[in-house]
Amino acid sequence: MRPLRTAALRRTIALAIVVIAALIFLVRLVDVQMVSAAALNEDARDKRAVPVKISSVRGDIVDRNGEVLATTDERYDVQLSPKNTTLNGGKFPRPDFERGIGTVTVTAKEAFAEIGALTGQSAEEIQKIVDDALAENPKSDFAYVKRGVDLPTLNKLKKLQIPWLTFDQHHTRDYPNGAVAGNLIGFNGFEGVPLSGVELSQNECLTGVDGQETYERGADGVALPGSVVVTEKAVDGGTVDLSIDLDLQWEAQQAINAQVQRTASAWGMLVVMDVKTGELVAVAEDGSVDPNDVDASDPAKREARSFTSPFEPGSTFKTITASALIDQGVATPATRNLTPDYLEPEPGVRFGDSFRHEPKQWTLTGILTQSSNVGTATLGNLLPAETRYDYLQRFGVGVGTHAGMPVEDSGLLYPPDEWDRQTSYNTSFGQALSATIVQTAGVYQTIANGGVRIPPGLVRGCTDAAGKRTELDHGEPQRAVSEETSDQVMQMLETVVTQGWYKNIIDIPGYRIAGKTGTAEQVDPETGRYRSGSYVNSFAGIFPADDPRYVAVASIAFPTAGDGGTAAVTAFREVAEATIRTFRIPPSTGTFEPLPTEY
Amino acid sequence: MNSTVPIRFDTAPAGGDLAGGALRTSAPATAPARPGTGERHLRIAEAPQSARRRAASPLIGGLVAVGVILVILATQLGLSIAISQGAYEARALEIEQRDLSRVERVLSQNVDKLSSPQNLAENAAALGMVQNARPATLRLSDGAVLGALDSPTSEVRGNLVPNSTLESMPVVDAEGLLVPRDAVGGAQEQSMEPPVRWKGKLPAPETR
Repeated sequence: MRPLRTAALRRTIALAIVVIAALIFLVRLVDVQMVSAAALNEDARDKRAVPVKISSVRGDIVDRNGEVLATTDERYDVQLSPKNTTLNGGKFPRPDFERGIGTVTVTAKEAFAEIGALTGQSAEEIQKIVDDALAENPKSDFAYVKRGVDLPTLNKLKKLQIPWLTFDQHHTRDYPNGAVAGNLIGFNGFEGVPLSGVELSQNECLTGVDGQETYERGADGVALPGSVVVTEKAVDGGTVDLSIDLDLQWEAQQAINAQVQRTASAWGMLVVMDVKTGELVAVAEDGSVDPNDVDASDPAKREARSFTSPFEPGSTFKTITASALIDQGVATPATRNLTPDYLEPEPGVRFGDSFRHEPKQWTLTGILTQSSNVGTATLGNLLPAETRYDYLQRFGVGVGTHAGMPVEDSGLLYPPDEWDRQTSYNTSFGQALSATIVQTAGVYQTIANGGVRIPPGLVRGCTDAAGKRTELDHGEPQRAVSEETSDQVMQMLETVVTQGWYKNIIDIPGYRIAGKTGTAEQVDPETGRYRSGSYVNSFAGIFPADDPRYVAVASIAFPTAGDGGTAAVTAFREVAEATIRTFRIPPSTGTFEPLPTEY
Repeated sequence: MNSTVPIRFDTAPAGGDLAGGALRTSAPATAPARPGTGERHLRIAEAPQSARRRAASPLIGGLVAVGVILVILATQLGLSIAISQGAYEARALEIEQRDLSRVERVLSQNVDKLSSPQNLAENAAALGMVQNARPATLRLSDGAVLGALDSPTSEVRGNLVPNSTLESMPVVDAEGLLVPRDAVGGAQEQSMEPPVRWKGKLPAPETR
């Protein structure tokens, strides 16, 4: 029996050892797998895993038809390892492409010359980059050779097979249409920080969220199978769409640039607005910035001056005075007024017309046609200042716009209790107050749209990466004057064009046009007084007059060669023709009987 | 491997011999003697036939066990080689995909640049094209022609809106061939001197 008992004992001991060992393993297993699993995983991943940032792509800016105005491009940084350029006496082997077999030895100097030939640098310049880096830190492992090379250059550099040359990628903004709408799109500065335009105002929509993925990789940089963990997915930026039409915008910029150059003017602006929606389809300025090459443009002309630079509009605002008079029932288009060319209605207050004439028997229509300051101020004074101030505001003067730009000036309109007597008269013909050209277009949009003002819009909305759309709110439409008033003012404005000195310049066969010129004095910021003999010439027009579809306003400032008025009317006609072609507007129907201008 | 171990432990005391061969030879010798003997002594029961047959080859069992282990190891090695080979392939394909998407991006952006109004206008001017500034409209409901048919062509104006992205893009010359933009001395200058430009009103087809 003894051997048997010994055997049993042995088995029991063995079993006990196995059970104890199993228990120990079990405890440890639970500890590793469950209790401290998270901490251990973290430790392990930090040792072998590489977190990699997945860059999100900044969204596009597109025009009303989806044509790309701004997009994101990939550029490549060329880097080298300064310390490795000196390894092995600066020599490295390279496969022999000519023989197809074996290697050739290349010196660092030769390599510098090869790189320089592709990046546009000289071998000495690259040598200097290496020397500078090594002088600062003899073990330097990183220096930029050139940042932002394009894909063909990258591929050629890769073919050189230089072991110490590495590449990285980054995103840059690309504007395929150059300066077309450059004033509106804006541009980005260093490291992609938006500085102006829609790039700045819609930055939140355009910016995506960077993602991150983590994986373990071997010595050769290959991800270990099954170790890729995407901790955060990258969300690309949204797409911003504008109400601008790319081709019309270009034609408008061509037109205003040509007139500014022809008359050697200080500046020019030209905007086109949709009457029914208040959308701006073209906002052109002379010398707009090419966002691809910001430094090449005049620093004073980089902003969207149509929104940021208000000026005194002058006679184009006589339309507001006439509208207020008719809407209040104080006057009709046929209201008579014996109009002299100069008036001093009260002591110390005087104003005159732009040309000399005997006292004329003009109707209100005639006063607008002749653009008489005396007539407008005389009749305008029939309304109290508060009423005229109220009408100016109803037409959007002194009221901020929310078209979607980062900065939109609301113009300058003092409250009526701050008006002195001269100012009270001057505001009736568009002086002593200021408005942006977009606000001026809004005034004519109101008249053309049956008296309902629709706040101007430029940015339509934002569509995010998931396809969710957010419309930009520009404000609620508001009735400024009655429909009858706007009809009568339309007829007056059409009479103005048919009787104007510029009727042959503006003529577009088949289309009826209503509008008003303006020649406004401007305050010289240096002296604080009006400039003498130097004006801003404007033309604000509505077409087709029988069924208003678009409003265009052209302004030419301080021409030094040739007539600014002709230039403004010509720019208007050119952009009106372009708008008619772009939106295929059918010609006018019916005939127009001009209203009587004299009695 | 696990199943063979207890068998070997059980048979060892039964046969009294560790050698497999001895067990097999002694079995037939004892079996015929059993019915002949009258008196029955208590004795250790012999292992059942099947167990004895299994127990007959612990070496083969061991070899099988080792073999299975080797096969498993080999399979695992093969699998992991295949997977890591797949990882290299996946990486190569990812790089290829990245390079192709880069090329696609560059090409589509080139299309955007080439379709910019400046480029189209410059090339159209270089080919001698003019613009019909005031197209007339035909109303389908009554066949009436709206607008004037003798519309003048507008003179071609050089591009006045800069676009620096076009510098690397080719342009057509007077023969309609693609040439580098700087080779023709600037497109602006070129658009001033087109080969042939239509003068006067556009010819209308004389259809009835």
